[in-house]
Amino acid sequence: MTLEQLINDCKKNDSKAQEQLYRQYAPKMFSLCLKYSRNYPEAQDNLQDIFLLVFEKIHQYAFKGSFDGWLKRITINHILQQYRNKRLLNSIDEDVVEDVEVEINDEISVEFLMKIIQELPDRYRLVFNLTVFENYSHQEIADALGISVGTSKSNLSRAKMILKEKIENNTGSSKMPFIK
Amino acid sequence: MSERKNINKLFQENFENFEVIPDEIVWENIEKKLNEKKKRRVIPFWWKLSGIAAALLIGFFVFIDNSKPKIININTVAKQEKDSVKTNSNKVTKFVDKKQNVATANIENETGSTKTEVIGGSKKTTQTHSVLKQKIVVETERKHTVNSTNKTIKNKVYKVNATSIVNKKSEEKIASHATKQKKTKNNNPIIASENNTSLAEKPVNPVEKTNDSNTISNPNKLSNTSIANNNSIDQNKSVLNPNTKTDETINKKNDSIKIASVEPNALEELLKEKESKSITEPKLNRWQVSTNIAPIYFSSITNGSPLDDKLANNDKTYSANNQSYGLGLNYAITKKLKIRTGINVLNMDYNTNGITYYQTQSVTGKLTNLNPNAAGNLIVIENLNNVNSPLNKIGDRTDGSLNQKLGYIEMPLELTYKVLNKKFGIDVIGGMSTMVLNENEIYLQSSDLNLKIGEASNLNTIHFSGNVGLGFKYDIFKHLEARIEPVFKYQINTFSNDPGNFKPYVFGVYSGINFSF
Repeated sequence: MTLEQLINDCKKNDSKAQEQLYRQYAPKMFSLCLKYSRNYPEAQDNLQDIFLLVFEKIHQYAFKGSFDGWLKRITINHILQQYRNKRLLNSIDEDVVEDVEVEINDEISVEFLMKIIQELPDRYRLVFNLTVFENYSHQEIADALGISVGTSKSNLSRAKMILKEKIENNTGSSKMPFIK
Repeated sequence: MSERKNINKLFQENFENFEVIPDEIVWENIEKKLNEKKKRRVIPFWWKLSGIAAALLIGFFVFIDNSKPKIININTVAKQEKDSVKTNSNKVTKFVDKKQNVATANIENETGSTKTEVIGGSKKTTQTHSVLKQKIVVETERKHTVNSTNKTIKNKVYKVNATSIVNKKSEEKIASHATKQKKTKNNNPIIASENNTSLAEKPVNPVEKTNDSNTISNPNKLSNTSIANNNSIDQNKSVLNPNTKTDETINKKNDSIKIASVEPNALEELLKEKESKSITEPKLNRWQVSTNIAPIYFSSITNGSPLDDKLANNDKTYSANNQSYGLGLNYAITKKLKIRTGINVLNMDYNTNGITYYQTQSVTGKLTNLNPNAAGNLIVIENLNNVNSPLNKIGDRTDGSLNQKLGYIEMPLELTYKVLNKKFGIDVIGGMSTMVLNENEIYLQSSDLNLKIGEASNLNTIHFSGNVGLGFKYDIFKHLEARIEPVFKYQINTFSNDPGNFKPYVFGVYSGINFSF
């Protein structure tokens, strides 16, 4: 079955097609949710809500642009929506450090990186993810989150400093033991 | 050794192609909510009866679905790979850059089937991380809480980026494979199943595995065994729940693995059986066309006459030539419930015996509900019983009978419910028909006369009937079935007025064939 067929069947509310679509895209979208959430259960909740949203809105997908891109947009919009509703407090702009280099002493696991992202304060996490993984500009982030460009920059900078510190100190890290 | 790296780059590289398979519970919840939505949408449009049937059906499916085994995909290394692995050098090296190393390993061992899968561990599983460098490797270190409950044993499926990178290509296959598999709520939390035939199967039972200690093998020992690599990741409860990753298992010495490889085979067979069943399950052909022809027994429940009250007690003869024929269209709402309509021609006639008639210029006392034509206007018809006095029997009187012909176009709307559905099947039929009058004639008959004298004035152009019956069918071919259906049709509102206590019904034995598509 082609992706197009699968999507068309989903538009008809075909249960089997919905399950297949879920199986195909859930792993990718779950990793996205994990990055944007505070923890595993929250990511699961987000994933569930997002897929329900996807099946509800799938008739709007007109095969313009990639389906992956469409899914990602829905996912990120949904997450932004949540935080928009929570009204994050603006923080005072601080010194902005653009390029942060980090000293890596040892093997770093992706799980550890995931964990420290999740541990970031909500807006730091959002700004960090949007810039680093989605290539949003600070202007776009400022518009999306209703904050100033300066705040976005300083949030990003703070986020990076926190991450750097944790990586270098391996705070709470899950350094993997290896057998030689 | 340490290196400096741009933090953006560090995260981007690590998360590239990073995928995590969520818990099965997420899909179950989604499915539940989707079903709720569907139910709400559908029911108001359905007939009461079919609504009930649909609810039962949905309930049935939900039940079936929940009882299916929960399965997690395991991809193991092909047995063929053994050889290539053996030839490789046996160093186990520290893994520095996962992505790169794994990628190389993949290239070298062209089998490329290094995909891992995922297996559930318990929440308390501690962590181990394994690495493949060019060859294999293994590691392990596992501390498991054995007596974790089923809930805690909830399986997490977790793909680590390294593997997902290696198998970019195979990902799709796996995704589609996963969809084929069904889940179960089996207490035994995981049933492993294998996909590609070229891959060796090595199902793993995580519960058993939790009992075993770690296996650390020197790849040199690999020779006759398959390769395994257990990987549990933990520590970050909040990050990634209990995740255990298993590549392969190296050690045959390991009892638990032996057990594991035996047990799931039975389950696998079961699974395969299930899969093949679902494949062979015949598709429901919703539409059917049918033909039917039926001898009709037309009669009245009471002894009246629709022509005139005074003929109520006269003997009636119902023709043996009454018949109905037509075409039908059936739609299967569910496997058991069908709705059907069609169009039938229905011709009936009957005789009212024991009358006498004579011709006169001045007719008095016509039949109440006769609308006479020119010939009928000159004929007096009387009940023979009323003229029993010989004095009244004047010479030009003739004894005879009145023949009333009725013709209708019938449009049934019926539901049929299958009570038996094998090669031979039985349906219960209920519904109604709309009858449109298209023939209305009255003839005067005697030994030497058959004269049309007019039509009945009290027949409604449209009336209805209530239908009940039984259907018996026999499958001749896949799409063709023969049917015979005795159906009783009680006529309602046939006459506009003064039916003379005549309550007609039609009993037909409809036979025909159904063709489904």
